[in-house]
Amino acid sequence: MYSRIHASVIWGIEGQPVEIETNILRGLPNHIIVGLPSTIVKESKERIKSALKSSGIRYPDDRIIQNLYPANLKKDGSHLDLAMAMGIYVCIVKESYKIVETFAFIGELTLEGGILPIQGVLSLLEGLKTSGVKRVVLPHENYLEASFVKGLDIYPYERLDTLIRDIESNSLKVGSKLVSYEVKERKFDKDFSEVIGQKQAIRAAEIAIAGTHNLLIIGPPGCGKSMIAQRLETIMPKITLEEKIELTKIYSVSEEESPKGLIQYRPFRSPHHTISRIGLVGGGSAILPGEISKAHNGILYLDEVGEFKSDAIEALREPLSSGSVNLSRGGRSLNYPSRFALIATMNPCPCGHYLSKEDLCTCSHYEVKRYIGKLSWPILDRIDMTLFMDRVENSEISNASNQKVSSLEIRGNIQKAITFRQNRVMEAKHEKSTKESNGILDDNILYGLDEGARSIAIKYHSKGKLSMRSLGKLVGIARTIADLACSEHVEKNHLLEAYSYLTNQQMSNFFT
Amino acid sequence: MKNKRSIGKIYEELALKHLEDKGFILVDKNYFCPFGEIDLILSKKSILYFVEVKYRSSLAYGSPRQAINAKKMERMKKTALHYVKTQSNTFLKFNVSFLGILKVEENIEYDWIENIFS
Repeated sequence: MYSRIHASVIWGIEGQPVEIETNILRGLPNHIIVGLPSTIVKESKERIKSALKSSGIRYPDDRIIQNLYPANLKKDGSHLDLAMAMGIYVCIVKESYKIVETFAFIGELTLEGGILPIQGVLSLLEGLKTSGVKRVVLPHENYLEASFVKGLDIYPYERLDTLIRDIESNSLKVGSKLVSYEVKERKFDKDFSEVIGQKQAIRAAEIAIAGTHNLLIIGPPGCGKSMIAQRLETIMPKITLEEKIELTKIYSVSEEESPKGLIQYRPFRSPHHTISRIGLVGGGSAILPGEISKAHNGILYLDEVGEFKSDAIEALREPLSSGSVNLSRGGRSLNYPSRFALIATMNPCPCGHYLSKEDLCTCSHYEVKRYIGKLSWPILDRIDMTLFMDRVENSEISNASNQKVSSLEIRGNIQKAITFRQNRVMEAKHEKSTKESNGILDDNILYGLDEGARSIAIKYHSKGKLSMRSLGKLVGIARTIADLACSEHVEKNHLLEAYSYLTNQQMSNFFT
Repeated sequence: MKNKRSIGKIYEELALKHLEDKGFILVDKNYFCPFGEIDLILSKKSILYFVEVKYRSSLAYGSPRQAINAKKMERMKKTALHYVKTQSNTFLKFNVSFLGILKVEENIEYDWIENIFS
């Protein structure tokens, strides 16, 4: 009496296929689970016993041994209940084994035989795909989420007894095709039209979001830094299905924020400045994703970035440049994606008025340097854009009504720029492949710049004002600006505007 | 109320007859020691069998097998070891076994488990 059932477990945010071997031997009643089960998996034996009995199965009075293969992978999660129960069931009812063999099972059991929804369905299904299983039985409530995974037949079931009945009559029911549902346009209680003046800041925000550039906003208290930053949420572009799936995988790992179904919007994370390093980049004994991974494909907004713990901020170095974070602890090493736009705000000095037009700063030069020095150069170097915001002038307040831009408008521009870029990249790829087949390689950093822009970029670089990384960033920002203008080539004025946002150029004001 | 000991005695006799038919030879009966009691001690092919006999008249309180728990198993092991130490030098191997007797509609069903520790 031996059986083998397919299932999977979560490892980080990825799924790993596992096989559940069951053998029933003659002996005193006993149920042994081997193969590195966690406490949850060990406890499942009671649920399985009760659920099988409630479903009308005669539970064997014998020694049951279950082995979770591969034995070296730690198995965690209550979703193995159903697969283990099926393993015991096909050992008793041998005729069913032929049918069940080709399926994988995922689900938690109740004592009276109900199949409960579980977390991390997307990761588990992706894991099953690698094992070559094509058909999966899973809880009915997870069906909507699971139907986004391509290449698998999903069989949703609510109860163990109906599942067993359908197996015995060989009439398992595949889930019905779902009507594609529309994602509602999100409503916000904030809008960019509430911002008076600060047109340059809004423009910088538009560029930062359109090109996923990191943005640092420096300015005196009350000038609207936070107001702009909080409204960035309202202009984020649409999220694609692949991005939704990736994001849902990340969130389903963290227990307290586990989503019901697929996440529909880009994340906007704004942790308080008392956050720890582990809270920000992830880790801990369970190696959970941190804020940077939860902000994946969205915005990480750090208000008063100078007040954050310096070890937390310094830990952002690698994620900022690589777009993922590799966390190791206790012999386990996991990789979480963390491609986000970092939006940070801070004051220029302790009193906050350094470099502003109206107020007189009371800080000494030393104090200013120390305050701004809270952000180290390696971090500043990774921030593409820096913006100095000043207070709104009186004249702007009086004629504010006629120059407002709504979030909807900005979002439209950004969406247009992104579509334009996608088309451009596709064409460029096509062009490149034809060029490569002709033996011409063009990997120039200045690719796509027209003559005027090219000469300016080279001039800045030759003056020693730009490092190679900064030059790359300059071209990157200029490219986004050109995309916003739907321009095929980066022109001179695009490059000049990009230069005005460059962190090196802005920060030089503080050190003169 | 019937005397439980006398019921036990009847079915231990039945068990002995069943096992003797299978080729076991009786060595000792109702061996007592400070650790507990062993119902039957038998031998076959120079292996010593310590047998616990359990009778159930119906499945109302579970099968005979389900009456054996970890504590009981431990007690049986200790008693068996005590016997091997004090009474016997000739046998090389021994094991602790179980014979369940279940009455199903006037029929008797035997459930033999050789070596409950395997």
